[in-house]
Amino acid sequence: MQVRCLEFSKRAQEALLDERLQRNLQRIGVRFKLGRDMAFAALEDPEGLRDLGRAIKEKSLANLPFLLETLEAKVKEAGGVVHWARTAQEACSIVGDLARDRGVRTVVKGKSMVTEEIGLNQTLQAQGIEVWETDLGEFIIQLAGEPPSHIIGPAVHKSKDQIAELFAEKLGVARVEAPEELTRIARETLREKFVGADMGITGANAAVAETGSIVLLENEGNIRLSVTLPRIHVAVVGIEKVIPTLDDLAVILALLPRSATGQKLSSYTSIITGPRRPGEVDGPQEFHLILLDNGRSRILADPDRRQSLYCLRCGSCLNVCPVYRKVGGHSYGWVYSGPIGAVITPQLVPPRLARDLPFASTLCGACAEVCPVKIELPKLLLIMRQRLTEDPNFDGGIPLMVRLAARFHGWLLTHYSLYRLAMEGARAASKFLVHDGRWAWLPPALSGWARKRHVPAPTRSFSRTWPSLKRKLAQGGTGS
Amino acid sequence: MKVALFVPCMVQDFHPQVAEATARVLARAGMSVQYPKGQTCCGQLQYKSGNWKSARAVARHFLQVFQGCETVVAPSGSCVNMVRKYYPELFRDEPLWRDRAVDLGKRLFELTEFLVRVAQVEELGARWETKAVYHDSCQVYRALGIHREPRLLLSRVQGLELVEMEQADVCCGFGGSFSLQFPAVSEAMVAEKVSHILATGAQLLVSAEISCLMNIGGYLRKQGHGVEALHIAQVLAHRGE
Amino acid sequence: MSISSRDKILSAVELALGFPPRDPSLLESRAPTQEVPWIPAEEPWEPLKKELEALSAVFHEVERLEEFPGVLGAILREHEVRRALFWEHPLLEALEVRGLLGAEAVEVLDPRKAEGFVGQVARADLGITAAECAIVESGALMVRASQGWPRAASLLPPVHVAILTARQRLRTVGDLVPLWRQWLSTEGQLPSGIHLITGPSRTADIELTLVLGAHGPKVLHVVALDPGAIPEST
Repeated sequence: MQVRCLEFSKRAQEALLDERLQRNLQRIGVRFKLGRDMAFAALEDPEGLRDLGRAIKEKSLANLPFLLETLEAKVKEAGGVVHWARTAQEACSIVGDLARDRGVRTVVKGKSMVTEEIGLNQTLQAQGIEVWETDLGEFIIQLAGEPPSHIIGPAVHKSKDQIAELFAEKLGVARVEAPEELTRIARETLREKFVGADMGITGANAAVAETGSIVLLENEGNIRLSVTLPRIHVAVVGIEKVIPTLDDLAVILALLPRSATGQKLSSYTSIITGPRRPGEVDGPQEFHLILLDNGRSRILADPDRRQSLYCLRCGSCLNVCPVYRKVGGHSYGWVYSGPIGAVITPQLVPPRLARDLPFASTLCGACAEVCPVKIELPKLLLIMRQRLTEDPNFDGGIPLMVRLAARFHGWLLTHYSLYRLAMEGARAASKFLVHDGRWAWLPPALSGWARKRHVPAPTRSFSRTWPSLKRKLAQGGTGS
Repeated sequence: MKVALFVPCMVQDFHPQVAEATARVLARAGMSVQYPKGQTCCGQLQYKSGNWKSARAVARHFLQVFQGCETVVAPSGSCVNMVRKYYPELFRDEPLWRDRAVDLGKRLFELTEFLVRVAQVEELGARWETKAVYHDSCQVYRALGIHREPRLLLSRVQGLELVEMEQADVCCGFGGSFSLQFPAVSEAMVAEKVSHILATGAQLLVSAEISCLMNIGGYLRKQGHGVEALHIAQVLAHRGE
Repeated sequence: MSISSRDKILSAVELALGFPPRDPSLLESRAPTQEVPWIPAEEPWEPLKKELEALSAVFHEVERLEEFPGVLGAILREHEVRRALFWEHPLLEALEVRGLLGAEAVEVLDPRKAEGFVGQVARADLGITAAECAIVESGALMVRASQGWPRAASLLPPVHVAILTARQRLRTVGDLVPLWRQWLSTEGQLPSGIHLITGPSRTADIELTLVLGAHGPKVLHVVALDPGAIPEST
């Protein structure tokens, strides 16, 4: 998928002017957060559970080679085929080749962020294969030709009349607005595709090494249909998704739906182990697991950044992020949005293409409070800022002037007298620029800030008023 | 008890009255207030903009300025959090500086935290007939876990009616350089915050964090909303005249 | 190509982690010998019923075996069922489901005939399965795939009827682990498909408005058999 993260500011401003989007964003923020908070409040020991979740991810990544080998062996034992893909292109060509070899004409897809990441649909469509996104939200944005705007609710930015318009135009149906009716139209349209599809493609929320199973959570049933009806099931899974045992799976299952939607369990949790067995009449005849690296092993190599890979893709950090709630998912310019998107995008795409994202946060910390595996998101945002600015291996492309200004300011701060001199100078200069508390001229960097906010002018500093205050205090005077 | 004052850079030159009020409040709490010379800034801007080398230099300067001080108090949560939480991480590979940072982190307090938890003073003789709403700065509330202390102190201000706003725990949109780099987003965030503040009917917005006050107060002032934004030290120092 | 990619990925990962030793204890269960903590059959259905109803599932309690035909018959008539798929499952056989369907003039689809299966089931009005267990905390039902137990029965028809006995209840999702382990040790691997079904299919993708029956069944009936209604042969 094309990386458009450098347009963050521009798209954010467009989003801010889109009243409908603002209403929808407001709604998801409140609704999802409330659901999540209530679900966790009902738990006996929510903190303990989150700690356990984090410990599982930590342990899983620390032992990744062994777990991947075990997973591979177990999948084979269950009759599945394991493929390894280092890059997005490799993963796409593996699926493309499979489809070609097996005469696949129609593919149905379950919602999967990782297939968005690798741009799989475009590859398959270029081969002349019909590809259908079957999650209702994904189906809507596929028809609209847009990327998802939220991990859990990909079409959350669209209102029902926009969707009604879209269905009428693209599906040639009568225009109806009721969500029930729109859902029925999607169900009927896609049911036909499911029955006729040759291949179902999904991601996975987890892969269990112990048993060689992949685990899929959903509410609609489209993922179950994708892994039940077509003769081939392909699961594209990031290498960070593997966990050791079924015990660990039980913890993930307790955490993920509660975090994502506030449900105790999603409507459907499927644990898939290999293709159908002899004598079974449905389920795929072939099961292919594609283990994708695509930059993950690089992240793993940096202990400071490793926890970026703990993410369960629940979307809860988006729902509470005050920036996301204003700008929406599309502003982030790639697949992953919100705080976790700002952290992982510059690690997965060429960093200079996503250099703004880690800075597009106030570091308020709301995200870290809800993360089911306690990823320290503000800390990671800070680390990414540092890497982009200072790490020559990272090639952040931060303008030299910006870096020099920060360094010069830092240097001044270590030279007290010069710093005071500079501030006194600024104060003297501001006297010419400020009249009745209004600035006649402001540095361009401040003009956006000043549009609706008063900018304070430097005044007689505390260090200069202190001597007299000190005397007053010494005399016992503390009144105002 | 001797208390050294750390005056954040934004207070020093832009809102010195906040530092003055802090000194008065500390004096009223029975402290002997000192103002160590040579202090500039905690280095937050450098740290948060990714310039960690510069941040380290500023941090060393800060640690040197305050090295002899037994107790340090600052009218800002973000500076305290910077020293307490981020200095040790900045000096991860420099054990000597790290130890000094950890040590100072234990002796450096945010004002309301110091008053309630350390000095155990709640009553400061402040008076103000007004209706006030307190803004939980992310750096004070989330980062330092200070929620009860400022409310307790405000509840002891004679004549002051303290009310709460909706979505009090949502960020005001300042975020330091964020508000300069993404002014439109920041503006939308502060506009929402202000709508919650106005809905309370309070005449006074109080916070323990100067950055939020510049943001929210700056918006209130330019939009002419007639709500005054003050640092909690200024309220606690108020005698009702 | 994929063989070399495999080795490249594995060595990149090894290198990233500093060649961690293989630790087989990672794959050990935290409670390897735990018994499946079944809830006693005498305990009331109320907590499970509450969860299921909150999920918009329909709960039917059957106190005595003789009542079962009436309950199933009412469901069949309610949805005007003409064609149904049901599992060849000991419990369903003992409940004589096939005969009951016949008595209501419902056409029964063969759950073992692979050829044309999907096309057949796509036209079914109702699917009947036997749940392995229910999770009281969340109202989830667990079903598994096997011979004669097609996955489509709980998925394709617009109405799903799951039959459950009072002996098959667990409290939390964590209580499933010993049951899964039991299957692992008796069958050598997990079933090809295990599904936890928590209420009917749903979506909130359009303006966060909840709609039932997105892709899976719109209606879920849970027929709960009290100890007095469980056929003796099972």
